[in-house]
Formats: sequence, C-alpha cells, structure tokens
Amino acid sequence: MARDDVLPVARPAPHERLDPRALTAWRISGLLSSLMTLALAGAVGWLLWYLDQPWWLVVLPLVIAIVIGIIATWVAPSIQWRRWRYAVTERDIELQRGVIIITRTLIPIARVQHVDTRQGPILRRFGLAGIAIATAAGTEEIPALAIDVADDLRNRISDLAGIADDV
Amino acid sequence: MSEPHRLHPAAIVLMGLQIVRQFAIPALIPIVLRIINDGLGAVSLQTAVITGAILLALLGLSTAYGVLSWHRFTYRVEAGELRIEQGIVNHQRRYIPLERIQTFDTSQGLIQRALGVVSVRVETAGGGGASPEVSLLGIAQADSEQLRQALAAGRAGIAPETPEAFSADVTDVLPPPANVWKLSANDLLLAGSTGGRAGVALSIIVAAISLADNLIPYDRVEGLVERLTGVVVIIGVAVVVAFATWLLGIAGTILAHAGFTITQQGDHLLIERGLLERRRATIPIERIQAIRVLEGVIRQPFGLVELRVESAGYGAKAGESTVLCPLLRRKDVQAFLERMAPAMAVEGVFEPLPRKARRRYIFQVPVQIQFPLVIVPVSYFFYPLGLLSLLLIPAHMLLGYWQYRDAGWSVVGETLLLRWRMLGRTTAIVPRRRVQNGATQQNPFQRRAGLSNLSVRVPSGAGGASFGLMHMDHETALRLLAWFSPRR
Repeated sequence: MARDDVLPVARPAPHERLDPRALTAWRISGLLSSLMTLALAGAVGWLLWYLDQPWWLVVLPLVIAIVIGIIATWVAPSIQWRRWRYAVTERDIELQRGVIIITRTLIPIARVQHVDTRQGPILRRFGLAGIAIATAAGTEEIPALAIDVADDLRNRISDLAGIADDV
Repeated sequence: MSEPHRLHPAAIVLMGLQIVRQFAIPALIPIVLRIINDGLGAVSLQTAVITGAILLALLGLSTAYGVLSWHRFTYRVEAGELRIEQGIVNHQRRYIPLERIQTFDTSQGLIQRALGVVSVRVETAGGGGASPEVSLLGIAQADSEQLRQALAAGRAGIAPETPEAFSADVTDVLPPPANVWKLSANDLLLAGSTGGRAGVALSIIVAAISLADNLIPYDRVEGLVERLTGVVVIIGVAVVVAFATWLLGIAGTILAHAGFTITQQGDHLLIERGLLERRRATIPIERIQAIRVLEGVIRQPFGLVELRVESAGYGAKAGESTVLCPLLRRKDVQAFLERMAPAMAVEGVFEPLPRKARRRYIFQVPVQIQFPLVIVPVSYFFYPLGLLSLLLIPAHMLLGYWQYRDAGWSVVGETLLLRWRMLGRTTAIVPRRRVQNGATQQNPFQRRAGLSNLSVRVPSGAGGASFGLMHMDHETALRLLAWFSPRR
C-alpha cells in the first residue's frame, strides 16, 4: 500500500506492567465469585437430587461451577496479568489488555479531562490502587498499581494533561 | 441584560398547565367514578357539584402556581454568567458561566405558537441527564433572540466589563446572517419518500409477492378461482399496508423537517425545523466533533445522502446526534460542508480492506450461527413456504460481500475518513484532534490472520460515539493508532 505512508510506524506493545500483587488480588476476587457460583450450583444440584434426577445431572452444575472457578481464579488472572501493559508519555497513554480479545487503546494526553485513583476492599488490603482516566467520551482504567506508583502516575498524567491542581 | 427579566406573561399559562398535567388524572378519577356510580344520563346534583368544585380547585391551583412561579422566575446575564432565580417555596439560584454553555435551543409547540412565544433550553457540557440545565418556558421571540446574542457575545469573549453594553446594539458586533441553506419542498417530499420507512414498505411488497407466487397453481386446475382470489387479496392487503407505511414515513419527515433551514451565523449554526412544533437548535461550529454522511439503501442509487453531526454536550443521551441536513445530493456534500463547517469539508480516496478480510465479511459466523434458530422453526411450521427463510443465508452473505466492498479508510491531512456499511452506507469525517481514544481489538482468529478491528471514540451528546472498521490489516490499524497521538 502506497498511500498509508502518511501514517507513522506501528509501535510495539507498551512495556510497563501492573504490580505483581495484582495477580494475587485478582485470584482472591476470582475465588470469591467462584465460591458464590459454587454455592448456587450446589443449590441447583440439591434441587435436582431432591427431584430424583440421574446422578450425572445432579453433578453437572457442580462440575461446570468448578471449571468456571478454575478459569476465573487460575487461568484468566495469569493471562490477564501477563497481557496487561501500559505506557504514559508526554503525548499519549497506551494500554494493552484482554484475555481472549486483545485490546490496545491510545488516549491522546491532551484529551484527558480528569484522573482519579480508585481502591476496592481487596486492592486496599494489598496496598494497590487503580487509575481511572476520563475523557469527554468515556473512562479507561489501569486496574492495579502499587499505591505510591498510582499516585505518582495520576499526578504525572494530570500535569501532562494540563489539568489544574485543585488541592 | 443585567437587570432581571421575567418571562412573557404567556408563561403563566404554560407553567399552570404543568400543574394541570400533574393533577389531571388524580382529579378525574373521583369524577369518573361518581358518574359511573350514578349511571350515565342520570347524573346527580351532588356529582355535578363535586365535579365543579374539583375543576374549580384545579383551575385555581394551576392559576396560582402559574402566577407565582412566573413572578418568581427571573433570568439575567451578569458578570459573565447566566443567572436564573426561581422557586415558590424553595428559592433556587442557578448561575452558569457563559463559556460553559454549549447549546441554546428554542422550540415552539402548538400552545406556544398560539400564545406567540417560544421555549428555550440551555445546556452545558457534561450537563447530561434528561432534563435541560435551564428551561425558559415562555419567552417572546425577540427576547429569546436578544438572550441568544447576549450569550453568544459573552461566549465569544467580547463581554465588556460594563454589563450595560448587553443591549440591542450587541447585534452590531455579530456578523449578519449571510449563509443560509433551505430544504426545498420537493426535497422534503423526496426525503420522506426515500427514508427508512420506504425500505420497510418495499420489503412488505416483496414478501407478499413471493408468498403469492407460491399460491399460484401452475400445475393444477381445480380450485383455481379460490387460489387466484387469495393471491389478489394477499397482494392487495400488502400494497395497502406498504402504501400506508410509506405515507406515514413521509408524514413523519414533513412533521420533523418541514421548513428545514440552516443558517451560519458567526461562530455557530442555527438549525430551524418542524411543521407543528418549530425547533431551533444552535450548534457552535467549534464544538462539532464529527460528521456522518448516511446513504440509505434506497437513497444511495439516487445519489442522495443525509448528514448528521456529533456535537459535544448536545442532546440528552450519550451518542445522540443531530440532523445537519435531511437530504442532499452526494455531489453537493463538499460544497455544503465548505459553507457550513469548512473544517469538515474533506474528501479522500478510500483504502480498501485486505483481501483476507473478504471471507470474514461473507461468513460472519457469530451472526450466521443464529440463523438456524429462525430457519428451522419457520420451515417446520410453515412448510413448504417456510423453506424460503433459507434465503436468509445467501442474502446475508451477499450483504457481507457488499459490506466488505464498501469498507475503507483514508487519512487526509489532519482528518480521518472511515466508511462502512451496515445496511446503508456511512462515511464518518473525524478530525484527529477530536479523537478521545482509539483502540484495536483482536480475537484469536484475527491474531492468526494479522487482522484487527479499529474503533475511534469522539464526544457526542452527554457521552461519546464510536466509529469503527472490522477486519483491518493489523499493522495498518496500529499505524492509525499511533497517528491518533498528536504530533509535535
């Protein structure tokens, strides 16, 4: 193709990774939601047993719940962690993420309207925080960084974007 | 405009009507119940008295509310702010900095028209929500124009220190309206008759003909008359339904777009439209985020298009766009944009998608895998006619090929053009500095083939709108992604 020479060259994937503790945090939240699924599957299994269904039908929901649980607590978090990359330069923010579908996002830094750090109960226990980057067309998130890294990054993005410090 | 202004006295009626609307149903229930209880034709005196009392109370309440809220409601432009004070019991003050004001729309419903007033809505960026930031229920047309100019002048930064200067002579500062485009009556009818409803009407007739074709006995003679009658009835009903649909489409277009006029006035576009309810929308040209050129299936062969504009902070919902022009010849699009929004008048030669994307468009497995859900039951219950639903598959494949042929992108200077087809064809014109984020997405199959989906988000309405292309060359998509980053 000749006419795409107006475009800059493709960039390699961004290089910064999330905090390694994110993996454990994700596993724990994956485990918690798996236990909920398992409880639900147990209830369905008990109902089927109560209704005198064949044994394989009674066991089926439990098997499905266990498979989902293994994926949610073991497989998905490690793929997600390996995949998650970000980079912040003075011109743009680049993100890469996704388990099955890989998404790469670029946000021109001048478009950033505000930056927040966010912390759920599990992240807080691990000393982690996420960053939410808001533009006029929606919000993107970097989910789990060490708190001091997150605070620094938030201030840096905020400075680069020319957002007035409201402190 | 620094001294507080009241709305037009007609606003008393409009504000009172709000109360009537709110209490009409609870007020009517006891009346209706009593009348039913009495039996029709034998309404007792007691019922008549109660009815009268309720109606009188409603009238009194709404009049009192109308007068009081009209009396309390004032607006003024002062110290670079639009200042609204209102509220009978809870006094409310709302001060809005002029530079935050995004849109200034007026509308004129039937009641407003009878009273000779307009209603004004003012919205700010990020205001969002279903209700407007400020709503002036009834205001004389001249006053609304004066307010609009005062707001525009304040926004443009020519707001002087002395608020007295906000008077009639503000008009001298603004350039006179020079640039006007009107939709002709012929084009209005053409827009209505080639709009979305026309497609529905056409498909009703096609479906009826294929149905009737199956009833025509090519091999047998017995029952010929009954069958032919059936054919005539089916086609007759279909033609009537289709015609009615088509006429409804035309009527809808006339109601919405009659007298469509777009005026470029200084730094904003003024769009006026509507038959019964006149609507006036103001779009600051600087706030235009993207333009979409829509070519509907029926319009495309005639070279007709519709233009839509994505504008920040406009509209109640995220991604709500505004009609910039209901009907235009394709060859006139550039000239039109040149006149109304010159930054958007960009044309380019479209780069096609790679060959390897073709079969992915033709075999859209995630969609086509659902077809048996329709085809199997329809074929079974309406055998043998239902077998026609099998045609869904080749039709969809043909559409897929068409979508592949039309998809493309182009970068012209600082502008990205994207073109894609769902049913109709859309061309999006997106200036680079409007891109809020760009993204590529790859599923495992695309990863193996070196393809990816590209999407671009721009602000629109209270949120954002997203444009995209499926199955681009991944390398090219990444280069476009890098292009979204501003250059130094």
